[in-house]
Amino acid sequence: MNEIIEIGEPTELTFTQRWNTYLSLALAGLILFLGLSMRDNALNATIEFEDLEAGVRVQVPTSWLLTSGAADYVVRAEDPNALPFKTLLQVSVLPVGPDATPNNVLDVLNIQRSERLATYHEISRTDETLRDGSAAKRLTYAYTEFERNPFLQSLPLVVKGVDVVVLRGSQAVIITYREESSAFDDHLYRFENLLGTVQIF
Amino acid sequence: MSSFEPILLAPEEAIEESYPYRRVWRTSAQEIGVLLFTVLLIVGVSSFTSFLPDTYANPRAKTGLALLPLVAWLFFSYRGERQALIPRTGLIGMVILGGLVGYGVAVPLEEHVWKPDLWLPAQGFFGRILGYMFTVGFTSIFLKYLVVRYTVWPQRFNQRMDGIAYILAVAIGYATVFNLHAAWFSDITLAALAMRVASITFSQLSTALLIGYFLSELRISRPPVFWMPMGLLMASFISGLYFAFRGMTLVGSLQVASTGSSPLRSLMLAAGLVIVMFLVMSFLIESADTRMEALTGRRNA
Amino acid sequence: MRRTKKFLWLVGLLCLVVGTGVPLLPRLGGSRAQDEPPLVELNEEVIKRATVFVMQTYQNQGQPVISCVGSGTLVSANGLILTNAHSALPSDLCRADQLVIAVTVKLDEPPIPTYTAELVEFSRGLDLAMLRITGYLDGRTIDPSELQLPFVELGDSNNLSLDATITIVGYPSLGSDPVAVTRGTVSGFTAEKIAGDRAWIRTNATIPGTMSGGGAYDRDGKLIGIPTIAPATTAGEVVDCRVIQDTNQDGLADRSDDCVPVGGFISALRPSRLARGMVRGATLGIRQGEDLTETVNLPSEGTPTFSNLYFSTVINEAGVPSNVVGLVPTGTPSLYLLFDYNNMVDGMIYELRVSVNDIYSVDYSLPPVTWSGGRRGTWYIGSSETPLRNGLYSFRLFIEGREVASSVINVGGGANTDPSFSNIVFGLRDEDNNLAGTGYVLPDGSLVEARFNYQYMAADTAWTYIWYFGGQELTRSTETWDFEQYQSQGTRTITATADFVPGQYRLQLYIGDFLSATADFVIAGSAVSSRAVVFPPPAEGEEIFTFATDEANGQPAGSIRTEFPAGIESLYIFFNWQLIAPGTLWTRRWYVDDDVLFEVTEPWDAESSGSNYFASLTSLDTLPDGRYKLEISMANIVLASAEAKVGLGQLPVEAFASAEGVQMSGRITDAETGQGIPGAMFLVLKSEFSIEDFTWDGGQVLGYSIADSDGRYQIPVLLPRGTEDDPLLYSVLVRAEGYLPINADGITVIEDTPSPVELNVELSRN
Repeated sequence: MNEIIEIGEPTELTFTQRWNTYLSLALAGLILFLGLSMRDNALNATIEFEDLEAGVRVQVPTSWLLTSGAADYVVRAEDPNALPFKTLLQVSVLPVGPDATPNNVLDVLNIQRSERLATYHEISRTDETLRDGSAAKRLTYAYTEFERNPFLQSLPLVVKGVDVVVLRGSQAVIITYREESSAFDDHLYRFENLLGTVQIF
Repeated sequence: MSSFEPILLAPEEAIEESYPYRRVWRTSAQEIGVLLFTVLLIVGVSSFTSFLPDTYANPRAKTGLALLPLVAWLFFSYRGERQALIPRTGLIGMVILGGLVGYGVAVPLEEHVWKPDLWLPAQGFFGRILGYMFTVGFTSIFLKYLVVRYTVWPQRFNQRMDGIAYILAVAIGYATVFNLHAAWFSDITLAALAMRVASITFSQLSTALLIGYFLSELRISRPPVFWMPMGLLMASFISGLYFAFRGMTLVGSLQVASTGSSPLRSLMLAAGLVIVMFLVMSFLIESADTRMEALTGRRNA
Repeated sequence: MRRTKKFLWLVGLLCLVVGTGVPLLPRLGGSRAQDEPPLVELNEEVIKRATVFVMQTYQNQGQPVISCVGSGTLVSANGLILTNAHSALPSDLCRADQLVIAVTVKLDEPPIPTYTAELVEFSRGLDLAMLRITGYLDGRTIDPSELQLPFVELGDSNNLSLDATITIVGYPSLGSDPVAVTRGTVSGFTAEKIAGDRAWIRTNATIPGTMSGGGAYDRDGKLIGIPTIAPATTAGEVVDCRVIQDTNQDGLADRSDDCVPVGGFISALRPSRLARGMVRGATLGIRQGEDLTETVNLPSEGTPTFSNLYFSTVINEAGVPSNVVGLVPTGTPSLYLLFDYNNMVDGMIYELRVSVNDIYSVDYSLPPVTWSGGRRGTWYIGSSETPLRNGLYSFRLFIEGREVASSVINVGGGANTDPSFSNIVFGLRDEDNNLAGTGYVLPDGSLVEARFNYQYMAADTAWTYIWYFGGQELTRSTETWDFEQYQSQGTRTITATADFVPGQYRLQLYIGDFLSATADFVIAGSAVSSRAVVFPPPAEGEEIFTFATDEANGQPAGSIRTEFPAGIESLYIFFNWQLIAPGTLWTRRWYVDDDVLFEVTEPWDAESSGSNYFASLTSLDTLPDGRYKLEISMANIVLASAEAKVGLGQLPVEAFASAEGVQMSGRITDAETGQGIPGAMFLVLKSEFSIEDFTWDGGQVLGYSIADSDGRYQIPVLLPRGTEDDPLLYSVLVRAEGYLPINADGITVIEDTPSPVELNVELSRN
């Protein structure tokens, strides 16, 4: 126990030590890859939502609160974890006349929202082509979200939203994304992912 | 050691005095004891007395508390090292390097790449084990391994306890960065910070021990080529396991008409882990030394 | 050393085992001590939050001015408010172009103006109104389905007994104090012609006037009454009117500015049963649609008067006094003051002040309330179910603060043995002397007989009978009592021969100079098979009533049938009528699934006879499935009714949400900072789903709340209760980014689970 043996300075690493080092570095690369994959899978996992009546099929993030069948939307997904605003993705269908254009639909949405949403205003309106080649209009807007329960008190949040409107026969399909303005760009990829998976049939 | 040596008559103190190195287990136990006592004192005082309100969050006090493990290490381990006959050199450098990789690599990696807050809490128990193991767990293990591997290893690894001493120094530096990060970048209360400091420090020390042991064995024994990777995996697995169990202890605070949580349970988990890991490692090192002594007639290679 | 190691092993393993242990969940049920039941077992927090402050405002030179205030109560989650009509309707006293609703955000703070509302339905007479929240103060509209407000359920005010404990909730000042709770007991009931013996619930609780329109609750927390008082007036001027704003913008808030009228202390509650139909209609989105003749509350044509005051101790089911008394024996439980009225307008404020032996009696008086009897007729107010104390009772009647009539009566002594008449009923004989109608609604004819009881009559007692038509004397006769023929007590019949054209008639019987009995009757319709047929079928064998979905040029249009498919927007009913004198009071009562929706009593203002009178129901969207019935009556006699079926013929099960259940609220905090986590989500699953079953489908969610800036949450729906034997188990989830999620099964809610339950949650970062 008390016998201490001093060893000299090592000259060079043994084969085992060298390969332990190499394998450790390789393991680090592997683990790094696994960690990133796991993270990406967790953050981007989706499930398929399909509404045969509305003719909409879409991939929505898993573990988001999914409501469907309401009067004003086909499906709505909200991120329960998001703070302070629950990131929202939504697909809705609006009946339109044969002469309607996406711009008309956006006008209607603007009018409806300005009655309901505080300080609602349009930011931009651009053309967009969906992955399947169909032409669409993209509307970016903002409003202030406030606490709807009068018994709870919160400061209003500035929410930024995007609608992509595409016409399909006598219906307009509106794909919506809303997020608190400071996190809007960070989570926009979720909307783009959703947009990429929307199938209208 | 001759057969007629009067072992039973030899005073214990005389044996200790003849040991030329710092007794790492003892100083580490003292550090753990001091930290545990301080944390329990703060938690107890804030929970059961009005002397220290449970909302107390003075930044200076929090900084002091975050630095407590480092101060305890300096007082017990480093001072002990300086007083030893053969002091280990470069320990302060290890602490600094541990802090630097923690601050320069681990914290940014956690905040900008792994982002565990965004996805790991939502995982199930086993998902959390693997998730933490492959991300923040492995990062902390591997960084500490790199620091030791490319500085003092193998030159200053003369005995198995050297690995423990150096890796604990790195772990203290690494943990201090995270302790300060917790103290400075949130509104955490002093009592909660005490628990977190204990949790961070104990978990870093516990998993670091394993790396220290594996590095020592790699230096002293003739382990297989997958020895170190296995050690890294084991340590990160324990790290993942700890985070997963810690998560379980922390979600138990759903109470009717009160906000009573049971933070002591997570403290007990961290303390239990560090105690068990220290005991396991001391057993392993002692066994290895004994085995080697039986084979070669000497305790270290 | 070895012993130390063993000890450390033990400690370390113990720490690990305890540290990794699974937490136990609380059981909500039974956590309250089961000793004595609380005085009032109601969810006071929910009731307080369901109580709103109603303000009428108008714009004056660009500035909002508050003209009238009152309390109100949310009776549905989507923002229906029950309140007093005088607090909600614009009037001379309450100039208004907007209704503002203030809600109690924090229970210990005054209400905060939050919403605007619209008037849905009202009854000036009952002084009840239904409001619906329609928007925010900044002008944004509200989708009612998005509102999840706390609300209360209506209770059965008929089951209320004397001395029952009640809790009154409302705002005690002009919006500067938090919602207040006052407790008291039921001290009696006041009768009024419009609603019978329990037209008012009387209480000994001290209730400030601004709590008018709030709510009174029974032990179960059900709304059983609406504290009601109109601002008192003296000679037309409001007694208590408070200046709170500089309305004329002269830089001073003084007497020259408009003020907010306030009623005195409230001692009377309108029973909630009188509001039930109104609430039901508003909840179902049904309104009374157009009628052939528009109901107009015309201004008074002359000076309003009360006259011919007399007392009775019994009012029969037809609302007719059975007797007339001048002295009331000790222990009599009921006493009614009857009087004729003229030139009244619904909504006018009238008051009865009663003093017993010159001491004002709160119990027998009726505080200033709104008039509901129309322009002219006979009215009564009284007290029932409470034995009268001995004494000289002085009754003084006031209209708009002016005393208009008074009378006195003595209570005391034994049973009265003076000669008396009582219980007059009428019959009409046809040409063959057969009874062609009995009761108080008779067909036209020329021979009306009146039968009445008499007692303690003596020989040669002088008595007089007088017949009136429309207030004018038709005929009278004074006779002496023929004792040999009739003896001292029995039943006697007298007849009157005249051309009894449609209209209102009255018979008065006097003994000497004292009125002893009186009764009114109506002549309407023709005699068919011994009864008055006022509403004849269009042709022999056809139904009296025709239902349709529309009306065009006074004729049924759209779909004409009695069974309609679901989804119709309006329901019209057409009928013919004959021989109704204009001004005759008639009542139409709409029912849905046998529950009263609307009841309107008004003077007949169409031609005497005609066809296709129509009334209608309409809806905000579509009429819900159900059985819709219209009942028409005169003098409390149902003359005709008909029923139509819409859709399945039954109201949807979910039409009325229950206000019963456990409210869950609390605070979500960061375990390490103690601060609230704004935006954290607290989610409660329906009891049939557990965490394991939950697939993040919104249909599995009972309700959820997002924590506010302080971390407070409030589940907007109440958790239905189970029973001790069959408890309902709920699962909750708490989520916030960066925090370890909380999932908890098995939160038990049973009958005695206290509500609200405060579930505080600490979230931890890992």
